[in-house]
Amino acid sequence: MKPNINQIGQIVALLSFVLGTCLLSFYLFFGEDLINLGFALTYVIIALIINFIVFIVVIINGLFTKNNKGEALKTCGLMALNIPIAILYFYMVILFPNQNLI
Amino acid sequence: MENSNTPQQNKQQTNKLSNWLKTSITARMLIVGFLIIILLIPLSYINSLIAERSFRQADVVSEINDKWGHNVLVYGPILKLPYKTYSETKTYNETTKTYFKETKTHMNYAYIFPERLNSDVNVDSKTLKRGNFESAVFTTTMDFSGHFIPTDLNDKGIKTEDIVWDKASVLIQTTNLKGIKSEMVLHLNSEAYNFQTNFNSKDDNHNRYLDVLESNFIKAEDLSDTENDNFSISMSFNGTQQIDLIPIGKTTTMSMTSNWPDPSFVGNYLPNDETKEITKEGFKADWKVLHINRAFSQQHLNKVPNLNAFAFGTKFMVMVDEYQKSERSAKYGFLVIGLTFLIFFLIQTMSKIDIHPFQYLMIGLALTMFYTLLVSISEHSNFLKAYLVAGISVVALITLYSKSILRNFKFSMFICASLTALYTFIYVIIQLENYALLVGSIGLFVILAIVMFVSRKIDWNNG
Repeated sequence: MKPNINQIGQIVALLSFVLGTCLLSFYLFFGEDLINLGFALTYVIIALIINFIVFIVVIINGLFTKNNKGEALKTCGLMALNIPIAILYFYMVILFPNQNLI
Repeated sequence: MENSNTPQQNKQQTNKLSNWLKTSITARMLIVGFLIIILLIPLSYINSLIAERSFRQADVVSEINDKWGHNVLVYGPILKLPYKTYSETKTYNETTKTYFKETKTHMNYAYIFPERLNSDVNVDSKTLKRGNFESAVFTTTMDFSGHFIPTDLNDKGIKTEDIVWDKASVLIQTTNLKGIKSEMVLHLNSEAYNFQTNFNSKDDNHNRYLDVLESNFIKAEDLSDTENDNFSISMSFNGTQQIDLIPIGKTTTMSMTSNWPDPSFVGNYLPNDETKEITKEGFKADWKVLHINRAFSQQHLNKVPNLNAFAFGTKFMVMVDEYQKSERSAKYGFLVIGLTFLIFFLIQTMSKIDIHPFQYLMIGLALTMFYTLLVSISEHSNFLKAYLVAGISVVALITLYSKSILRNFKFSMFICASLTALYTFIYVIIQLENYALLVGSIGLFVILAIVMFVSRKIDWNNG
C-alpha cells in the first residue's frame, strides 16, 4: 500500500507548520543566540518551495483522478492554511517588542 | 503522481495514522512536546512584558531624578593661581641687518589641591513615588573645611614673582548644579567669597560633564606665603542615587550620617570598618584617604585633571528587584511547564485516562498566567505576597481543572502537591544567591529520580 499524494501533501503541510512553529518559539524565547534569523528565513524559503511543488502535484493529481477531487481539495486547503499562519508568524517576529532586529 | 491505492486502502491508511496518534505513547509524547514548545511563545511575550515594565520603571526613576537633582559628585575646592610665562621670538630685520627680539607674556594657570580636606556630610533621604514606581532622593548638607599650605611653585619652574596673586580664585566642580539649594560662600581666613558658575564652551578639560563654580578673586593678602590658609565652605544639595567625593586633600576625611537604612558604599575607598554603623534608623560612616593612597600630586599646571576614578562615596538606591525576581522566575517557566506536562503525561499513560491536547494547552496557559499575575501583583505589593497569590491561584485552578478532566480526587491532589512543591522549589532558587546552583541541581536530581521511579513499569513499546 503506497502513501498517496494527498497524504504526502498533508504530512508536508503538518511538518512545515510544526517545524515553523518550533523555530518561531525558539527564536522568540531564546533569541538570536539559538535561532539565527537567516536560518529561519532559509527554512521559510525551502518550506515554500517544497510546499509549492507538492501543492501543484496535488492539484494536477486531483484534476486527473476521478474519485480524488474532494480529498485533493482538502489537502490543498490544509496546505494553503499555512500561508496566513506564516504571515502571522512573520509579523510576530517583526513586531516582537524589545528586540534588536537588523 | 497517480494514486494506485483504492479508496478503501486510503481510508485504512488514514485510520491507521489516526489510531497511532490516539494510542501511541510516542505520538502523545510528540504532541505534548510540541505543545510545550508552542507555550514558549506566550512565555517569551511575558519575558518581554517584564523587560518593558522594568524599562518603564527606569524611565520614571530617571524622570524623578531629572526634576529633583542628579547624583552629587564634588571635586574641590581647588585653588586656581594664574602665573605668567614668557616666550621670545627673534626676527631678522633686512634693512637694519639686526635681530629684533620680541618677548610675549602668556597667562597660564596652576591648580593647587588643599593640604587637608575634611567634609562633614549629613544626608536626609526619602523616597518619592510616582505611580507604582519610587526613587530614593535626598537632601544633603556638606560642610567642607581644611587648609591650603603656602604656595610654592618653584619645583614646577615657576618663580613666585610670576604668580598673579590678585587674580587667584577657588574652584569647585560638581555634577549637580541644578540641585544646589543654598548660596555657596567660601570663607578663606577671615574673608568671605561668593561663587558663580563658570561656563566656558572652549574649555577642553577632561571633566566636561562636571559643572564649574568659581569664586570671586581672592584678596592677595588672604593668600599667605608663610602660613596655612584655612577655608570652610557649606553646600546644600538636592540629589539622587549617589554622593561621591574626590579625595584631593593630602589628607582627606569624610564623615557621613544619614537616615537611609540600605547604603551601598561605592568607589575607590571603603569607610572605616570599626566606626561604620548601619541600623534600621540610618547609617554613619567615616573615610580617611591619605595622599599615598592615590596616584596624583597636589599641584597641576594648565588643566584640572580628570580624577573621577578616585571618587568614593555612598549609593542610595531603592532595593526594588521585583522585576528582576519576576524575570528570573519566568526563566524557569519552561521547566515548570515541562514538568507539569510530564506529571499529566505520566498520569495519562499509567491510568489510561485520555487527556486531549486542548486540555494540555489550557493547563499550559494557566501556568503562563502565573507570571503575568506575579508581575502585576508585585507592582502593588512585595514579591513574596505576589508569588503566594499568583501561585495559590494557579495551583487551585489547575487542581480543579484536573479533578474534572481526570475524574479522580487522588490524582488531582497529587497534581496540587506536585505543583506546590515545584513553585516552592522555584521560589527557593530565586531567593538563594550562593546556593542557587546547588539547590537547583539537587532538586532536579530528585525530580529525575522520582520520574524514573514512577515510570519504571510503563510498557513503552506497547503503548
